Order: sequence, then C-alpha cells, then structure tokens
Amino acid sequence: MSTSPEQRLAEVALLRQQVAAATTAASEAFRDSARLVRLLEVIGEPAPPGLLVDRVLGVLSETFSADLTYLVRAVDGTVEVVGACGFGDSGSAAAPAVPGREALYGEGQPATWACPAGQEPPVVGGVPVVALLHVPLAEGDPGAGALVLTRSGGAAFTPGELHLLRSVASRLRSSLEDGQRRVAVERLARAGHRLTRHLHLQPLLEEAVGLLREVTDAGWAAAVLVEDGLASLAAQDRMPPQGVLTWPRRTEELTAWPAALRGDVHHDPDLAAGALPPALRLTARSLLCVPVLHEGVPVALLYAAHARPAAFSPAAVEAAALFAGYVGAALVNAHLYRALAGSETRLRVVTDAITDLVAVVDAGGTVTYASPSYARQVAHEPADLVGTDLAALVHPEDLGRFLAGLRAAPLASTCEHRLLDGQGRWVWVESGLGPAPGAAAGVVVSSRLVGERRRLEDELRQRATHDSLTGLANRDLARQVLESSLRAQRPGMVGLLFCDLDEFKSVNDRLGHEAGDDLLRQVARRLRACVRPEDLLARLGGDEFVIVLGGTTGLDAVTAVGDRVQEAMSAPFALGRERVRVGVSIGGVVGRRGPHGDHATDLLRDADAAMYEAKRGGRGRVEVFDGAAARRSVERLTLRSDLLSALERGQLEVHYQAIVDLTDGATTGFEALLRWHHPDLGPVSPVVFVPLAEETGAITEIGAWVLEQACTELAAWQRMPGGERLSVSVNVSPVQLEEPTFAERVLDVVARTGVSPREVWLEVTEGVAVTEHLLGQLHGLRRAGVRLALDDFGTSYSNLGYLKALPVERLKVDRSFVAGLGDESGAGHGVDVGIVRAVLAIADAAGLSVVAEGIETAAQQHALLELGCLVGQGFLFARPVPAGQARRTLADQLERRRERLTASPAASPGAVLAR
Amino acid sequence: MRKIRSGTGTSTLDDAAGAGEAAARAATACLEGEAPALVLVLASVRYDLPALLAGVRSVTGTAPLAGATTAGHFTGAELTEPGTGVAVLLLSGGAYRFGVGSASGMAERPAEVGAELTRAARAAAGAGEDQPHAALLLLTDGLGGDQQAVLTGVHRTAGATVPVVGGAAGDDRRMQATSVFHDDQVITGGAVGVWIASPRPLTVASAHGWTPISLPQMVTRSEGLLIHEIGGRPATAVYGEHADLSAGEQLRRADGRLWQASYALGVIEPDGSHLVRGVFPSADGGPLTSFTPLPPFSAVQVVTATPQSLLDVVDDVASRALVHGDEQVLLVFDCIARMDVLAGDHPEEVQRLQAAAGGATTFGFYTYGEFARTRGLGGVHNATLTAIAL
Repeated sequence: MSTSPEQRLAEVALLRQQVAAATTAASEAFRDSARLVRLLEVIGEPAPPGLLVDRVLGVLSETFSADLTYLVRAVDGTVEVVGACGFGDSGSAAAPAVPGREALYGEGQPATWACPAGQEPPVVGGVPVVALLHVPLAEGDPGAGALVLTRSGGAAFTPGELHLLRSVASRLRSSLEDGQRRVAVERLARAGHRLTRHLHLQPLLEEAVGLLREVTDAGWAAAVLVEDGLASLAAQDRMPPQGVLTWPRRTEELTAWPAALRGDVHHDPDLAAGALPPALRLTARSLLCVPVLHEGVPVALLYAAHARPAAFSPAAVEAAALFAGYVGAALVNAHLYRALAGSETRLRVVTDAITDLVAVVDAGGTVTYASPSYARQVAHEPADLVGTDLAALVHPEDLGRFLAGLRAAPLASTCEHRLLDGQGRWVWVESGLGPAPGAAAGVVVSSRLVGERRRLEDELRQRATHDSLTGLANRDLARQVLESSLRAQRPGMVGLLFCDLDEFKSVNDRLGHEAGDDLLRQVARRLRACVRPEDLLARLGGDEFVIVLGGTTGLDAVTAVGDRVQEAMSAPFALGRERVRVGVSIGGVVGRRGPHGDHATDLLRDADAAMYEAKRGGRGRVEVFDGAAARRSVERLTLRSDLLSALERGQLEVHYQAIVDLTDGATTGFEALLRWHHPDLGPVSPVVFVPLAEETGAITEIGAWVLEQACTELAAWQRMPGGERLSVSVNVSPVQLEEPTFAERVLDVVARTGVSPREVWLEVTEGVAVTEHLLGQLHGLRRAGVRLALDDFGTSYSNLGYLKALPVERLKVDRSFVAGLGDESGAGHGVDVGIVRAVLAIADAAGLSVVAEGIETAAQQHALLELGCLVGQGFLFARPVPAGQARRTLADQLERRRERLTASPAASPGAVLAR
Repeated sequence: MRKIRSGTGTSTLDDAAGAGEAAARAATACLEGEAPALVLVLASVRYDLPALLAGVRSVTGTAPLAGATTAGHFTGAELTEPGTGVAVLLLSGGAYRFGVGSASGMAERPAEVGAELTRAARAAAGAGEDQPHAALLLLTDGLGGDQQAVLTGVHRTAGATVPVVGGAAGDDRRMQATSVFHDDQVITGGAVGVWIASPRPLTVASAHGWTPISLPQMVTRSEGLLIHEIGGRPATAVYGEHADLSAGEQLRRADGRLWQASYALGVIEPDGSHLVRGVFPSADGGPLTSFTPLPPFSAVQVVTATPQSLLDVVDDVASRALVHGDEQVLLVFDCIARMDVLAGDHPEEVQRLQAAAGGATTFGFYTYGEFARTRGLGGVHNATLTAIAL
C-alpha cells in the first residue's frame, strides 16, 4: 500500500526521533560505562584511605559534573564530612541540608533530590544545591559512610546515575577498608620497628601509646600495667585529665578484663552508660582495649578511644591486636636484653674479677683473646697480646711441655711453667689447657700464678723435712737421704752416726726448757762444724742427732768423725750465765751401697744399738757397730722380752754353790745363783740377763722368787741332821733395794719358810746408791736378824764409807783378786796379795767376816788360808748345782761327817785337804 | 559597577623589545591615563621573549603581567597570524581586582602547579568584600603534560565557586616548546594564572560545533597512538563507514569558496561532551593513528564539523559570555583544530567574534587546548571555543 508523502514524512520524523532516542540511549550507556571505568580504575588503585577518598571524589566531580562531592558519615544525627571536593582549600566542608529530607543522611538509603521549581535552593559553600544524590557505602548503615553529589544547575541526577553509583559503592567501601588496613599495616610495621628500640618498660609504654593512637587513629590512648590484680596507669597520650583520675583500679573492675584474660581484644563501638565516668564518656564513645601478653598472662592493657562512636574500623581493631603483639614481643625483647646485659655484666664482673689469666689461642698458637687479668697480674695489656704467639712468653726450659700440651688439644692438660711478665720477670704459673668452645680449633689457656703456692710448698717441704728448732734435717729427711745414698751408684760406703746427748734431761730439768732449746741449737752448730757439706746432719728429736756420711771408707773413718764430734762437744756450753758440760754418746755404723747392700732400716737400728752400747759403756764414748754387737743387740732385745716371761714359763732355776770352810772343806752354806735356760739359746749367762731384768724391773719378781726358793731349800737343809747351822746367800739387785716393800717381803718370805733370819745372807754390790730409804731397809732387815754381805768388794770405785754406813757383816772378795793368788809368777800376784791382805785387814778392823770367791786351785786356797781367810767358794770345791743335786751332795757330806766323827772324833785340818 | 578600561596594541616588529614596547605603547593610549591593573601579552615564539617582555614592561612598569606564546592571536578584528607578532592587552581594574601567580614543574607535579599558582594569584589579587566572586584565567604550557591535573590542582584550591577559563600556550604549530609569562619571567613547563576577583558572578562559555554522525562504539583494541579495532572491527573500516576518506566532502560556501567537511573521532567524555581527537587513516586499511593516546575502553563516535558549524558557535559563545552586556573585553581561547578546519577562513572567525562581542573588545589566541571549568572537576577541552567577558 502506498503511503502519502505526509505519512512518509511523519514516519521519517518518527524514525528520526527513535534513532535519536536510541542514539541518545546508546550514548548515555557508553558515557556511563566510561564513568564506570574511570571510577573502578580509581577505586582499584591502592592508596591510603585519605588519598583514595580524594581521588574518588575528584573523579565523581569530573565524571558527573558535580559541583560538590562528599563522603559523609551520619552518626547520632550528626553528619560528619569525611572528605569533600569543591570547597577549595579555604572553607570547612559542610554537608548540604536537604529541605524536606532531613532524615536523608540518617536513613542510609540511596536517594536523589531535586530542588522543586520555584524554590530557593540551599547554598553550601557559596554553591547552590539544585540537585543532590546520596549513595550509602553500605545500605542501611549510615555509619559506614555515603557518597553525596550536588549540582548547581544542569540536569538533575538520573536513576541511572544513582544505579551506577550504587554498583560501585560497596567496591569503594572495600577499597577504603583495604586502604585503611594497608595504612594500619604500614603504621604497624613502622611502630614495631620503633618499639624494639626500647629496652626499658616505661619508655616502651610511652612510645607504645603514641604509636597505638596513630595506628588506630584514636583520640587518645593509654597503657595500663597489671600486677597482682591491680591495674595502674603507666603511660597515656592525649588522655583527658578526668581519665587519669580513675587509675589505679582493680582488674575485676575493668570491662576489658575478661577478654584480656582470654587474650582477646575488647572493642566497644559505643559506650552507652557503663563503667566510665560521665566526663570520660564525652571523649570515649568508641573504646578499644588490647591485652599485652607475657607467657600467656596479661601484663598490660593498651587502650585506644575516640570521641566518636564506631570510630574503629575492623582494620583498626586488627591493627591494635597486632600492635599489642608487637608490644608483647618488645617486652620480651627488652626483658631478654636486660637479662643478657645482666648476664653479660655478671660475666664481665667474673672475667674482670677472676685472677686467673684466661687466653684463647688459635690452632697456630696465636692469641685471639686475653682477659683483663693479664694486665692486673702480669702487666701485659690484653690488647697487646692479641695477635702474638703465646708460647713466646713461656720459659725456654718449660716450652717443650707447654707446646706438648697445646698440641694435645682438644685433650685437656695442665702444665706448670714460667711465664715472662710485662716487666721482664719470670713468674711460675700453672696452666690448664682445654678446647675452646666454638667451631675454630682454638685452645683456652687458663693460668694461675703459683709462685706463692710453690713458695709455700717449699716451706712445707722444708718444715716437713727439717727440724724447726735447729733448722737441721729431720728424721724423715734423714731416712730419705740415707735411702737414696744407699741406692746411689757411687764408690765408697755410707756411714751413719747416732749421737745422743748425755744427761740432757738433767740440764733441761735444772735450767729450764728454754735453756734446753738453746743448748740444742748450740749443739747443732757444733755438730755442723764437724760434718762436710755433702754429709747430712739431722736431729731425730729429743737430744738425738744423726750424721749421714755420703761416702766413707769404713768404720775407722766413721769413728774418726765420731771422735771429732766428741772433741767438739768437749768444750763447755754457755747457757745464760751458766757454763755446762754436756757429753755425747755416739754409735757409728757403715752400710754397703748397691742392690745387695744394706738397708736403711738395718743401718738405723745398728747405729742405734751401737749408740746404746756407747752409753752403756760410759758417757762420752764412741762405739762402732760390729756383728757381735748387732747380735748382742738383737739378742739383748730378745732376751729382754723373753726374760719377762721366763719366770712364769719355768725357765728359771736357782742353782746353789757351796760356801765352804777353807780349813776342812765343810759346807757352811750355799750361794743361791739364778740360772736361765732359754728354750732357743740355751743357758744365758746371768751377766747378760740380770742387767736386762734390772732394766725391765723384772728383777723384783725374780729376786723375790729366788729368795723364796733359797729359803725353802735352806729350810730343807736345816732339817737334815748336821745341817742346822747352814746358811744361804742370795744376791740382791739395787733395783730390788729401791722397792719400798723390799724388807717387808724378805721378812715375809723368811717367816713363811720358817727359817731363821740369821741364816739368811743378802749380798749387795758396791754400786748401790746409799739413800735414806736404803739405809732404812737394811737396818730394818738387820734388826730383824737378816745378814748382809757386800759382794764383789774391791772391783769398783769402793767407797770405804759404805762399810760404815751399811750394816754389813761380811765382805766377799772378788774372784779377780783371788785369781792372782797362788801363782807367784803371775803379773799381778803381788798386787792381788796386797789387796786381799788389805781387804782382810779392813774386814778385821770393821769386825766383818770375809768370804773369798772364785777359788779354783789348791794354791789359792792355801794362800788364802795363809792370809787368814777362812771361808770361800769356787770350782775347787763345788760348782753351782740345782737344788736337788745340792741337797744330795749336802746329804752325802753330812753323812760322811757323821761317819767320820763317829769313826774318828779328832780329824786334822790337813785331812780335809787330802780328801 | 565601575567599568574597566581596556587598551590593546599589536606589533609585528622583528625586534622583540621594540615590538613589545610598541604594542604596549599602543595599548596604553587607550587607557586614557589610567594605570593598568593587568597586562596580558600574547606573542609568537619567533621573539626573544625575555626581551619582548622587557620591552612591554618598559611601558607597563610593574603592573601584573600574564601571557603566553601562541599559534596565532587576535585582538579586535585584527588577526596576527602564527609566527608574526605580539599583542598586548592592558586592563585597568575598575571594579575587578587582578592577581597573577605562576608555578613551574608541570610535568612532574601538575596538581601542585595548579594549586600553587592559584594560591599565589589569589593572594596577589587581594580580594576584599567588594569582590565576593572570582574566576581564574589559566594559561599552561601547551606541551607540558597532564592539563587536567593542573586544573584539578586549581579546583582543589579555588573550589567549585570559581570557574576556570583559559588555554594551553602554542608555538606557531612547531610543537617544540611553548611558554607562559609572568611579569618579566618566561616560564617553560609551567603555568600562570590570573585571579579575577569580581563584584558579580563571572561566566565561562564554551562550545565546539562538532556533531556525532555515528553510533557510539567502543575502542576495543588500541596501542599507544594506534587504534586497531573499534567495536571488534577494524578501526579504519569503521571510521571509513562514516568519514569520507578521500579528500573530504566538498561543500560550497555561499560566496562560492569551497569548504571541506572534517571528520574526527569524538571521545565520549564522562560528562557527556566529546573530546575531539583528530585521526588519520592508514592507506591500506590498517589502524587509525590518533594525535594523542586515547583512554582505555574509550567510547567514540565519528564526529564531523564544517567550517559553518564551527563559525556558528561563535555567536553562541559570545552571547553566553557577555552576560550583562556592559562588559568591556571578551577574552577568547580558540583551538588550533578549529583553525585547521576553517582552513584559512579563520580570519572570518575573528571578524565574527568581534562582531558578536559588540562593544567589548576581543582579545584571544589559538591554543593547544582550552580550559572551561564550570561544573565539576573536569574542564579540559579540544577543538573548542571558550571565552569570558570582563
């Protein structure tokens, strides 16, 4: 069908309209997509929140031709302008009040508004608001923020524009949050860095509160320390004064405490009524509290507050929690640092204070560390030592051992060596070498000055080996020297001299111990002069000295030394004002060197024995040891101890020797003589064992026993017909006489055996000391009837005063004088005759009877008779025989006499002689 | 309101100082003895510019001076072709107060440049209560960088109530170096602004005269200056569907001279305007080449303009700028793209401008970009005519 030109024109016009509309629509669509691209581009670019908001508002202004663009936040009916574009740099931005739409901002809903025609548009910042667009970033949440755009003219905002912006709003919100988070992270990173600078709590907290406030964009911040249930304010940044007054408080009162105990953040976006005092509520509507944990326990609380409610974004809360962690780490760091500093200080105190020298050397012996004590102790600056060779300071003689110790590392070793000190002197040190800790093959050398210790050791050694009074060597050293001398491979023999001062005790008693010490010192000096330097002079203790001769030729040389000593000792000693003579008894011995030589012990014993012999032989003598003396010494000692038990073992026996009338040989009595039959040695001479018995005091028991035996025999003899007038003589030792009860015991025995005291003769020797006590005993015995005889008359230094003092009735002429009688050719014949004649004269003068001993020949008998001695004893007549044999012999004799008397009543004396 | 007095002068003398002095002297004569409150200098880059300014200031003294190099300028009905001379405008204050500020470093910190010069110019103007309104005349280095960023800096400082008008300096099409002037300084890589404090609101008018002839489409593939695809199809093909790729449609003017229609791409700006971008196709149907890079995912339309359409906007702009009718001077900023399209008929535009300005004297130049910020942050234009009347 055909259309008219008018219709066609109308169609064309319609089509044009449609095309125009479509083109417009397409154009708008493209324009919108261009806007979207610009917006998304700017939203997507990471930027700090402030800058992002600026850029977004700028893009909105540009792309929407909006005079004013805002990001606002509506809280509590007030509209806060977060960002604005179009106000220039002068005026403060205010959100436009929309007439009739006062609740617009508070609703949080997307909306547009156009000023009604004819109405005066509101003016903000000099710009009329003809159209307005409001798009919340989170619908229904005015606090989350909203975009507001205004136009002063032109077209109103279209629904399409609103829709466009709604679609980007949430993206903008995320971007803003991201930006906030990024900012918080950045601030946190910076903050963490600044926190770790602090090593002490208070400055740390003061910095922390400032940083927390920045990180969270808070109005104010505070740090509270928690201890023992009490929370006290430690630091604050811009805290309102009223806030300060509420501290300290108990932790239970804190609303944040339960969360803190769990390690959680406490976030209150809007403190309504509550724990805060009203004044504080003005400045703290948003409150954030994060705990600072130390080993899981809150030790501090960090507060951040803002006057505006919901001021802390999730990013800020997160940041605060992280920050609290940083503070906690900084606390631990500070604590550790202080502990480390403390231990380092203690270590430094120790290393500074130790007196040991500590050095660390590397594998090559080069010093890598030297302790401060090197400066103090040996005047070497540690700095100077580092890099030098430690072995260079070691004494050449000790270097070998030191280096061996170094090489032995990592095995530990010690080495005593000399070290050159900073003043060029050698000092003794004891160094411990051990492995140095760490990877390098170093050695720790820890040295201690031992000069003092060595000196003390030397002193102790000196004291241990020397006598403190005289300074001479002591017993131990003497023994050591003796032993080593015996072991030495040297020619010659070892000589040993024991020197014992005679009667030192009496000097000590008389003049006092100080004088005694002085004497010893003087003796030591004199003795020193007698010995060569290579010989050793020692004091064994008391008054005993010993000389060890390192190389001697024999006993003669030893004796010579002894003689020299005697010579040296002969001069008197000056003790105070006194002049004292002191003798010395010296025993010498010689020892052979070598593996088969003599032992020190033997030599010492032998020298001691020889010395004792010297003493026995008289004072001031030198005796050298020989084998016989050794044997005698041993035997003597053995005998001594055996003798003690000889009596109870029945080894003792009393023999009887007849004492006869020299004219007819008739027995007038017996002398009781003690005999000892040693089970091993056989018969032991009384000359040997009696002195031993006297030494040990056994003589008392033995003597009493002998007396008892003798009296018992006497009783038996007297019961024999013809034996009524027989007597018995018993030898009495001076030791026995010292017994206080001696006389008692004698009389007791006499009484018990029933013999008459007048037939009991006690023979005493001349050596007895005449004391009051002795005289008392003897006179008592005399009064009791017991007879006393003086034995061995003439043999020792006879004191004729004895005869007057002692109540003796008989003298016994010693055999030595009798021996010289009868042999006119004998050397001493004349003298002996004279002596016997003299003795007989004395006896006659004193009214004493005389008995001659040791008559062995008829000539002696004859001589004695001629001299007028009528009684005697000896082998000529009878030997000493055991009791039984004595009885039998006596019985025979008495029998024969009776027979003779009955056969021939008057027998001549010569007849006796012929028998 | 107390009117300002204006005086303009031009010179094409070769000697810079001489030319400056001569132009200034000529302008002074029109002021009838009043001291100038503002000196605007438009000059060709052919001159030794410091000497030129010295010559101008030898006459104008210490009066605040702003200016720019141009790609041709005009005053009244007189057109100074590119590369020839200098023009000087002297304004006495009247009811206005003027202040000049500048800043350099446009390439590195364009926003700071805009903010700084605005603060300086505002402070220099020293506006009081009598001048509650203001506008900013902005002259920037035409090759300097991000023009919008400078404008953003201005806006952030001045605010929405202060419209911005101006242009980017030219250099006689050499595309080498442009400069702006502040007092005796020749600033390259910077910008200068004149704060105009006024008792009554100031209006910035602008229009371009290009019309879209295609549906909007998206540039789907581009690389630097090359536009490969539009709407998924080869760009040249799309372009060729609308633009006559041959010499151009011949149009005949009323007086018989030939006009040519011109085509370009108009980038659809978010605020709905078109940013005219000249492009030329490659011979073999390859990509289009643009003079400046296009924003990514740009929406474009093929736009066209004829000399007539361009001339037609002159009256519109002039009438919109001369709000009150008693303005004495019309400051004009005209894009060289328009000169290109007018193809030698730009003297006619100048005539027409002055005719439209009526009693106000026109004073303006051909720019490498224009500023017209009235609403919102954006305000950088191409192929546009902008003006403000004082």
